[in-house]
Amino acid sequence: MPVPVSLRSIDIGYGSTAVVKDLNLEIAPGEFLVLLGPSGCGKSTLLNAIAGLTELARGEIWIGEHNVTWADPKDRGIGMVFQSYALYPNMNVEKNLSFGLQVAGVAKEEIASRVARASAILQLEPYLKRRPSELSGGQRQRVAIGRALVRDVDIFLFDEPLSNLDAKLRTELRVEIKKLHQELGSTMVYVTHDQVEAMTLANRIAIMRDGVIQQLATPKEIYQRPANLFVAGFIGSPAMNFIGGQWIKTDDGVTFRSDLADVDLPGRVHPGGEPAVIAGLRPEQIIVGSNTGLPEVEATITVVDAMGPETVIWCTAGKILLSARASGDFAGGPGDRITLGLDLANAAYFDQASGLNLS
Amino acid sequence: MRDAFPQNANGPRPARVTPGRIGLYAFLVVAGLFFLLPAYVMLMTSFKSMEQIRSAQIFALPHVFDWSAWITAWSSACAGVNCTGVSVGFWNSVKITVPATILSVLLGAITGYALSFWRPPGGKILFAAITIGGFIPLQIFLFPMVRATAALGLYNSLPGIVLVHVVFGLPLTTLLFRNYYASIPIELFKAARVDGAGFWRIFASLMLPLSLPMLIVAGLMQMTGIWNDFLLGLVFAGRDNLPMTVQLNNIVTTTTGQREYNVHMAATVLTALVPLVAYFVSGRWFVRGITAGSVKG
Repeated sequence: MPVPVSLRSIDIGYGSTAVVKDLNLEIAPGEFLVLLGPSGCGKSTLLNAIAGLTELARGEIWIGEHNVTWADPKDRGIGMVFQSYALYPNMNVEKNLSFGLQVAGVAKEEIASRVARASAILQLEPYLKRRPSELSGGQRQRVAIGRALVRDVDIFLFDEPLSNLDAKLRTELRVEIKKLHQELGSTMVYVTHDQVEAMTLANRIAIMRDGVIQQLATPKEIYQRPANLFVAGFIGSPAMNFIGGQWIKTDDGVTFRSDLADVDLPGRVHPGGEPAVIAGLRPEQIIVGSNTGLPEVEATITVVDAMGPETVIWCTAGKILLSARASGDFAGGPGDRITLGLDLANAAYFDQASGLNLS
Repeated sequence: MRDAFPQNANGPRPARVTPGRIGLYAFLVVAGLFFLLPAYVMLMTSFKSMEQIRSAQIFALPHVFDWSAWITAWSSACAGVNCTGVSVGFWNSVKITVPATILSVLLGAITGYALSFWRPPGGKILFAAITIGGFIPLQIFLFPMVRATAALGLYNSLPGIVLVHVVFGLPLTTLLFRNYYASIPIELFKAARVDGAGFWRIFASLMLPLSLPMLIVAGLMQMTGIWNDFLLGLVFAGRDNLPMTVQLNNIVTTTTGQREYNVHMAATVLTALVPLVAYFVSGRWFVRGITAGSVKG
């Protein structure tokens, strides 16, 4: 049975050195939750707190029906996978996998069958007698996952497990972790600063900054309706384009007025006053070419990134730097003048002062 | 000026002998001789007869290689009225060195482990105190230590001298192990905690096996230090447990009759032999690192 995790009014660290502040988070049973944020945002500290490796200054942690705030790591039903693998270097793979079970006093036959099952799932059978130093990075991380797997834990905690791997292995192991979650159905909490990992793995993403959750939502929701400027700028590669302007109240909504273009936005609710706003446009919301039916701007190409299936065009329109996504066969080069269509009707709008999404 | 880009450059650069190099090697040879010469004189003298020694050919090889001085030194050389050689002292030193080394290294490892990973309250202050304690000359503690061991009823006894060595060895071993454990990634400790292991289990199953190189280094330093100790042995061991160094001194300074230089030399070499052998045997452990590959690739 998958188990829920509940973090209630958590503070970690004291006063001005507080790493996490008054944080509340409900993780559903069987959910894959990703904690995403820049380094130093408190995501790893939070994971350590769930594991019982860091003390809370305030608040409660509940796992299932138990208040585990004061419980030892071993009593919480958690397994943890570290970025540095943290395999026991003096033990071979088999011993690494069985150590936790031996400590818990599990019977020998039971240990053997559980190690066999875990090593089958993770394709580690050929390496059972090897030392960690004789394994590749990907194999080491599989052993680290296996260590949690054999213990039959309720909650898997991942602390940037793929950050030490090269790009190809990272993609492979990411898919394996996703498959593992689908097979086991266990609750998983996954810390990363890599938005691709977050977008592909998560049921829900919690984006953190300075110890505070900025937005907790599905990957799709976060991408399409970022709650504030920080989330909008953090998620997406290339990053969202920001265009400064103003909202003017009209009869049936507002008009967005900026140096680049003016556009009517019927149906939007004007908050009053004459607020300075920032329009956020994803690179795919900027279309290269004229006659798109969108507000058009002239721009000069500065850099062209050919990615294969697509081309990212960096250009300047007036003083504003824009990035646009075009097809893979885009032929222009630096210095060329192009016409861009801005899909401002579907853009996200943020209040410049508060940074909050206005929709 | 030398051409930085010679036209005919091909393959390995030819080695060049500079005056600086020659001077360096000359210095090294002289320095080597400086330390080897006394050892040579000691060894050769120990194999000479007293007649040859009296003829004052200090660097000459022995006319006849004579082992008898070694046998005398081991089993029948006299210190005052005791004619037992250094053998009694040898076994006393073994009885002192073995338990004192094992205890001081093991306790240092445990203390270092606790300070590194468990971070007890006041741990930093304790560690600072230990480090400072290690720098204070032990002679200062001599009298308080005499009173302390006397109060414990351990003065002039084997457990007493072992205790004294352990106490004076702890700052060094604690320092060594704390710094060694500081280089072990904290994630390893966290992983073991998540796996359910407690204080002793993590120490015994994980940290102690990982600290094999440091166990050897600390063990060797403690062993040679304790074996070579003179002062503490003289003050705390008591008449029945005098270590080899003290007994050697007693033999060499006994002034009845003629000075048997060959016996004295043999006794000295015998006393110095144990640390010497230990260094030769364990040299390779000094450079061995077994944590390679545990973290990152």
